[in-house]
Amino acid sequence: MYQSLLELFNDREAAESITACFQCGACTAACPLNVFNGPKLSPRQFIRRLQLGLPVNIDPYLCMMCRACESVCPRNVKVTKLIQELRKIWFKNNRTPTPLTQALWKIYEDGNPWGYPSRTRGQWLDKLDSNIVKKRSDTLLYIGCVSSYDIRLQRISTAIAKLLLKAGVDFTVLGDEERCCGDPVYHAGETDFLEELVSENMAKFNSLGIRRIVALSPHCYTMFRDIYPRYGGDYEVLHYTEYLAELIDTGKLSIDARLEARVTYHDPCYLGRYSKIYEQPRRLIESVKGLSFSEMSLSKELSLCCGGGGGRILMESKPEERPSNIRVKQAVETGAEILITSCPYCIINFEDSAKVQKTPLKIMDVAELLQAAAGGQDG
Amino acid sequence: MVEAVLVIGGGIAGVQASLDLAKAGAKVYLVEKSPVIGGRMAALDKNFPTMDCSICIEAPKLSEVMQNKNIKVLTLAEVVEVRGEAGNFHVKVVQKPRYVTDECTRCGDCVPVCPVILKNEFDVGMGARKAIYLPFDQAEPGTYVIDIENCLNKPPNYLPCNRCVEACGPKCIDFEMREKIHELNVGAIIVAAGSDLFDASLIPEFSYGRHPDILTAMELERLLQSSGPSRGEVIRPSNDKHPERVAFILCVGARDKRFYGFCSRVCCMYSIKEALQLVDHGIKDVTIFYMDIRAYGKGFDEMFERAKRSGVRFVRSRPGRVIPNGDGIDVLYEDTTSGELRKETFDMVVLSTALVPSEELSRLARTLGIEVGEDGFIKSYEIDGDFVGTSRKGIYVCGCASGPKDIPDSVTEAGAAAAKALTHLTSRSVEPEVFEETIDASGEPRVGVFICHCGSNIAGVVDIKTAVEQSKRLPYVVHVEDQKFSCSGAGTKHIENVIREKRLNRVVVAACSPKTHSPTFMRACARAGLNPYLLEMANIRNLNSWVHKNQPVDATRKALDLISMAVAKAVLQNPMTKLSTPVLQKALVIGGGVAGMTAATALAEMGFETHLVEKEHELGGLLRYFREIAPSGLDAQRLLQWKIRQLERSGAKVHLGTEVTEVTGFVGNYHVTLSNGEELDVGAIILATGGKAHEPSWPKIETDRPKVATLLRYETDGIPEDARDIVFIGCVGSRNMSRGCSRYCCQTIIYHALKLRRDGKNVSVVVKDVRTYSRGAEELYRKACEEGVRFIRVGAEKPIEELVQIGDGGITVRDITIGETLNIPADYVILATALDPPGEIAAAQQLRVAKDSEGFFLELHPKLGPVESITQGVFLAGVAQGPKDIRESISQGLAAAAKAAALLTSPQLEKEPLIPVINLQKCTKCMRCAQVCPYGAIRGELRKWIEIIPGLCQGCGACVAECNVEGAITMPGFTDEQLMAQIDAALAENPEEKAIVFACNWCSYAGADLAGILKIQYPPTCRVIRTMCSARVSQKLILHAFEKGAGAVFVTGCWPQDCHYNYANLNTKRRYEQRWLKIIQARGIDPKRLQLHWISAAEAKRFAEKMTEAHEVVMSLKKEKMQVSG
Repeated sequence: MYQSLLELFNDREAAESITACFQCGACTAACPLNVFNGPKLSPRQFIRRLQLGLPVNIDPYLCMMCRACESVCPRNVKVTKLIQELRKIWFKNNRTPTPLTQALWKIYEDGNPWGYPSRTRGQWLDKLDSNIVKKRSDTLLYIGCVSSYDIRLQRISTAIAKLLLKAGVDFTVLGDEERCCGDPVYHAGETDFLEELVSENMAKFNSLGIRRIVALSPHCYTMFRDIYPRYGGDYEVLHYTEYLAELIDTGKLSIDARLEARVTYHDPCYLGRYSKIYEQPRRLIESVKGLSFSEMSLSKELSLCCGGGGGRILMESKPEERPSNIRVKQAVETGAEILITSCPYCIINFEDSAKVQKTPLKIMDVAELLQAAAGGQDG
Repeated sequence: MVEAVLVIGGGIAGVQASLDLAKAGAKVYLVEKSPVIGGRMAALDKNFPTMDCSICIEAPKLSEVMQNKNIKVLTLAEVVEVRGEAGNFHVKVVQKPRYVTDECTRCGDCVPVCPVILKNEFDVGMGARKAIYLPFDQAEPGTYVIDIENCLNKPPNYLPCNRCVEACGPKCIDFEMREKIHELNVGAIIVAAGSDLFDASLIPEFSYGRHPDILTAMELERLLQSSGPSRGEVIRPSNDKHPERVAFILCVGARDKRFYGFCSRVCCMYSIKEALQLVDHGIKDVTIFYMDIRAYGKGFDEMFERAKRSGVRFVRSRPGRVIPNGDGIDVLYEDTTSGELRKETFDMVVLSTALVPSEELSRLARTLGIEVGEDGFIKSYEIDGDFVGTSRKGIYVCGCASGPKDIPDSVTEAGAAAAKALTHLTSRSVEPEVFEETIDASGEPRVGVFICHCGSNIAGVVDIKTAVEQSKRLPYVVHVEDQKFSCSGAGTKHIENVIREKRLNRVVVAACSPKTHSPTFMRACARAGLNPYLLEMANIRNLNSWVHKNQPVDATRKALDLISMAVAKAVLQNPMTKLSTPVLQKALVIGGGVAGMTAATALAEMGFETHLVEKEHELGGLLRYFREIAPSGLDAQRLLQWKIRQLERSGAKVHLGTEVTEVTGFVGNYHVTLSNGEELDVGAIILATGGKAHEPSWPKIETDRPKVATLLRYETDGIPEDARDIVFIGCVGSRNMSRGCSRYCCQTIIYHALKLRRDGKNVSVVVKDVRTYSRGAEELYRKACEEGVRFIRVGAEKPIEELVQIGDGGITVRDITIGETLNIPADYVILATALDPPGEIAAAQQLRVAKDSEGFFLELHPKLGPVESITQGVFLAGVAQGPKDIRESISQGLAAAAKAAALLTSPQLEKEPLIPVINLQKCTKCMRCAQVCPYGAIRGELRKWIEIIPGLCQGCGACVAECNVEGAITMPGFTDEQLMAQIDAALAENPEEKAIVFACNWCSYAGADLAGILKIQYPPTCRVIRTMCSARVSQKLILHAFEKGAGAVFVTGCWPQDCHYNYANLNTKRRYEQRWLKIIQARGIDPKRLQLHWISAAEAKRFAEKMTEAHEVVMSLKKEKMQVSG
């Protein structure tokens, strides 16, 4: 174990991230995990221990990879890169938590971490009039596991598909043949299966002539954009909010929608801090007339993680230690009736917290909002 | 023939460069883009570590610039084109119109009528201004300015507003003014364009702009300013209440890869300063979040310690979140020394924002054709540029334009740039203004009194008609008239004519403050042929109409008293002429290290005969032992060879293996004897005697492994190839109880650590704080970290020897950021040893050059006089003045040369004639006067002989007040007779209802003036008598005032550390406590009637409070009397 920690220094980016740290502690103070009384995570301290060659005493699987720490770091330390490297070492040493290893088997067998049957993956498409599955197109709308199966989240999938159809753009979906992008595999710290899965996915994309991927989930989006290129992936990758905003800008899509409601918006970590996509979702929200929009006190770079990143969505957290609880409260404080976001994991966590807190706050995805405001049936 | 230099930027660096140039005979064009000069220093409340009032020490420099005939100030101006080359540049400058002519009297009548309200940039938006305005009260040029972009008359103005035009008494608002183009021919250009402040809103986690009580340090600075938007009250903008818990966050925008990688160099200290001020304002809970405290300068560590002692809490942490939480502000941070994560609620958070390069700076660089460094500041060249040269020959840079800098470093560099610029000029000249004196003042006094209305400023309160009528009855007064604006061009011309027509031989102008306006009226007298010292002013505006505006009857009575006091003094005034002493145009530099060599080279290049004396047999000083110079890695020996070659080429005469054995004489005329018997006569002396490398007695026992070497030995000998594990230890001999920071060491050890690391060694550096403040050094530190140099942090509370154990194959040390004791293997330990002061230097002792508490030479003023010693004509450079690196030593060497050049340029040294005169018939030669002289300007032998050395005397008058032999010593301009006549005039009627207030020229009188400017109201009881220093006030004057029935006597002066005469005012304190109080009590006078108070030039409010207290004393006295008689 200790030897493998030293090997961290062979990776230039990891080594520099360790040594560059000058121990200011901003990371620890920005970490959403540390607002609870539960287990704490001090990136500063574990980096200091790595610097000094002392044994590391943290659980790297606690981290939600939300990059709140990195966004305040004055020395550009890639904390999540280090956590990821630690996870790889932990995986090799069989220290990965069971829910994650189980999820890997399920992905291997069924193509999704929850073990739903792969043949029902395309059922959400039944709500669409047109058949777009495996149509010849260079643009793929990638739905992702959870939004393919979860009945609640399928509403997002259909909303996006309908909006794209309305805009008259040429695109396709994989239906039953879609498989997990590999996000949980990556975050477990496994590498061999990840390579296999990514290669298979790419082979499928390539055989269909896919050049552009529009991802529904920011997590899949990040995988395609940041991880796939390491395996030779070369796609134009867009989050659907980017794509819709572009369609509106170029006049291909017009939103003639109205909804009288007080709303706020939550920036998903993997969309905001990872990719600096802050404006497009807001522009989409603005396109709906009648809304009164107010920002939460912590927004954009400061957005608070819902708790679902870094594979945490597959693991249990104590109900009193869920960041989504705080986030829902912050949304309520703005006076909002609807908390809008653009990530299925955030929606799962927020709906859960809203239920527990018995608040009437409604949680909606941006695409759902656009659909609902336009009088869509799924609103 | 080119004799001019262009200086771009009117901040303190540009101002200082202009003054140094002008005094050395260059013509200067000072181009400033804003309407006024003064820069950021003018907006600061106090300066660290001296706690001087910033504008009070800067304002005299600003008016000096305005009055210097060699300097032409172009405000609202920008350089648009530069052609030509060093020695012959052709520069085009565009100057925007001001729309107000120089006849503006600063009455301010235009301001209330202007309907446009805007944010005041000077108050960083915390206060308001109008479209016609003056950025701040002491601004120079003092002419108001119209912000045409926001003015309702902005063309095309179909509906002119013109309210200001109608309100302007002297009719000096002119909307027809047009842009001017100046074509200048200059030999050199100095860029002093300064820097910007970082925009704190760019850092989302600090929430600037999301809560009104999250401020920048500059905003707090304005709140602390007594003339600022809150009148010096520290209030929370959200609710106008005093904060109770305040947090400072350092390095906002600096040392941050997301924004600027460099260290902004001043923020640690300005934050500590502001924290101490908050403590003074009664705020007990003040926290500073820091990563390293960079208290590298002279007296900085001491101030850091003082802050800790005053209860300021220092937390080593950078907060990760600042979150507005209703009324309060939550700060989330991890205390890195305990590992605890905390959330604390403060009611004010101050962001210490960095100094950063401005957009305009890079634009200017393009116009000038000079390079900008990676950090965005102007690039300066090391060897052939002496660190102030840019990429284009003949263009120099100083101050914050080449990286953040504090005031003394900016001022030093300004001098350095000036010294370099002077070498490009083919001609220099200083022409004194000469007037012919045609009026004989020896006969019976004929006093003319001119009473100024100052628009309605005076006339609106004081009954001018009565004042004129009453003044006519005063003795020797032959002419009285009132004027709308005495100081206007027309007003002074009229005075000039009346002097001639009515053959006046004394002039009294009853108007505003003599501090600002006597030069104007003195020139009017001189033009008329009258000795200018026969002018006296009665300050009936700042000290009267502005501060008693609701008591017109009392104010009129007081105005009469003030006029009568001025007349009484003027009548007794004799003509005086400025003193002049010959100046030998030769210089001596003592010390042949890098500072001394640089100074000698610069002076010789300017054409002065220059001697360099070095006690060793070779040149170079400490530089001889260095291989490379951090942070740039400059080859030290190449630099040394270059320096030696430059020195040889300059023609300076070098005396090696020689010491100075004796120095006699004074400024302009020193006689020097060398150890080889040679004798020299020089006008100026530069002390560049360097320092010694500290020799540690640590570790006590030598070990085989690790080997231990000092940094200096490492520099010369290196380490064996096979050494694998290397440890550097900082602060050996520095930062202990008696010594501060040695400045050069952090960057030097980090430079070497990185180099060894690149050779594949394991390198650790043990430090208290990483103080890589200088340009490029923080970037070097970051590189060292990234490439794997390990930094171990130890506490700052003990000397390093007690925190690290050396032995057993390595070192043992407790790291504060992890709280564990570490054993670090080491083959070699290198100690970063301090720079110690030089031993006793005979010449310095004979020149009475004082030393600071650490044994380095004491500078004249830590902020504005870093290279001048307290002894006039003696300048300081290099480590002799305090530890510093090569860059700073070179800079000081040049700056000292510029100062010496300024002194040596004119063959005569002019001086105000305030030199006491001894009447040898009456003097008993008791030598008491000599004992109190702060400059050693009185020589003699008890009972035998005595003499005053005018070259040394600065005119405080402490000697005169000490003398108790009637008529033995007098101070021209402030004689006993004059001061007593003022007392008599003040107390002519109802003396028991009045308080005599003695105020010193520099602080308390300035404070009184400021109270006027701020319109702080106080009772009209006091009658102020101005002296140069409170030390001039004598027992005789005090007793005279009580004998004449004064209700109270208040003596006021500078706070001792602010004293302009080398602590002369401690004499006042001693006299007051040990003598005066006893004597008056013996005479049955209630001691509360005699009080001593220190009031700084900024403490207008305090002045008003003290005047109110004086009034209360007088009132209680009156009450007691009534009870007794009743």
